[in-house]
Amino acid sequence: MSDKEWSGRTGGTQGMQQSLISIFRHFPPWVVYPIVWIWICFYILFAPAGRRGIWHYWHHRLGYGWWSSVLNLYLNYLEFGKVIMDRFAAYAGRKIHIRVEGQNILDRVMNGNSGVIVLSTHIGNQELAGYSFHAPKPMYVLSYLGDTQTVNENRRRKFEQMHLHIIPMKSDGSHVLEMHNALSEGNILSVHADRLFYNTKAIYAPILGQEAAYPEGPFRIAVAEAVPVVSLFMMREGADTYTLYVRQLSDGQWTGTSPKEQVCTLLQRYIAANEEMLHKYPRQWFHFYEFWK
Amino acid sequence: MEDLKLELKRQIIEVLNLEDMQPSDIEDAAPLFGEGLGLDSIDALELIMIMDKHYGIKFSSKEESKAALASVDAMASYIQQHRTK
Repeated sequence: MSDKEWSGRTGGTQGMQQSLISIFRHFPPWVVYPIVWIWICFYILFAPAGRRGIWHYWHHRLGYGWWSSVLNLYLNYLEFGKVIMDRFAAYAGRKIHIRVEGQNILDRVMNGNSGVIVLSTHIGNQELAGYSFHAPKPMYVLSYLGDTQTVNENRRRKFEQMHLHIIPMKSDGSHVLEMHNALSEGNILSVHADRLFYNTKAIYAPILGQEAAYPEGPFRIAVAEAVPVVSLFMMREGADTYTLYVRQLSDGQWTGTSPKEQVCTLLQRYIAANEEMLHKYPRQWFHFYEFWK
Repeated sequence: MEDLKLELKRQIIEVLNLEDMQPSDIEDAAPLFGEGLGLDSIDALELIMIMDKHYGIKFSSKEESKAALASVDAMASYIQQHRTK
């Protein structure tokens, strides 16, 4: 696996993950923060690919000085640790307080007869967005099932509670039929749009001033299906508190330009929404590998 | 049947943006995926949409769609048997 690929696995052993869920059934997530402060040091020291990726983000893309980048690198990892703890707290059934910005977009788009594509992202707590968003119609989530058994089982259980359906991502691409059928029946389809899996075709566009590779599939599907497209960003504000930002990227009406140009336009809108969130919450960038070319 | 195959080839070229190709460049029996035209899974989705929008065909299983989209011959034959439009 190269530095540009992501393993798709949550850190820690299954036993550790199960223990966290047991703890959070009785205690709030902050009780384990002292362990997180130390734990992330091991990741920073012994996972060089992730460290290089976050360093590049702070020092080269955001333009922070050396010491400031070192500090923010640590704080970025720390924020990720807290987000992961919140995810396990959600598995344990703990309540998360959420303020929604863009409820009118959600109401308008999600209550229509047409299918809807949610282009998800690895900024903020994207998994929590799925659990906390009460969709008015069935929601299908294209999911990479390469995580640990504990995470996959708890993810599946939470999905069932929220009436979410998993479409497993397959290396032969056979999941596209399920995606099309879900959309043609007027359902919601959530797809990661910022990670390359299984050597998928890439398209390139600048984010934070430098070109990066994005998977072509989610954007081509959105244009081909001609359905409304939104992005949801679940940004952490503090312990148990999040803001869900809703951004509409397309109403599904594409006219006057070629499909290729439409795909590029949609990608640019997606990146602009990502950049908006990064300017507000720079420490919630969770690509722990070399994201840029 | 020949008209249907020509129509399919034109649709494939249009939706997949195969600007340098003519319908005559696509052999009826040549595989569309892998060694043939070299289409990928997202291209498969576009073909699934052609079958749905133009011929009213919805596939219920991936095996069914895989066989029906194997070549232009396979697509035309499947459309003749299952079209609702």
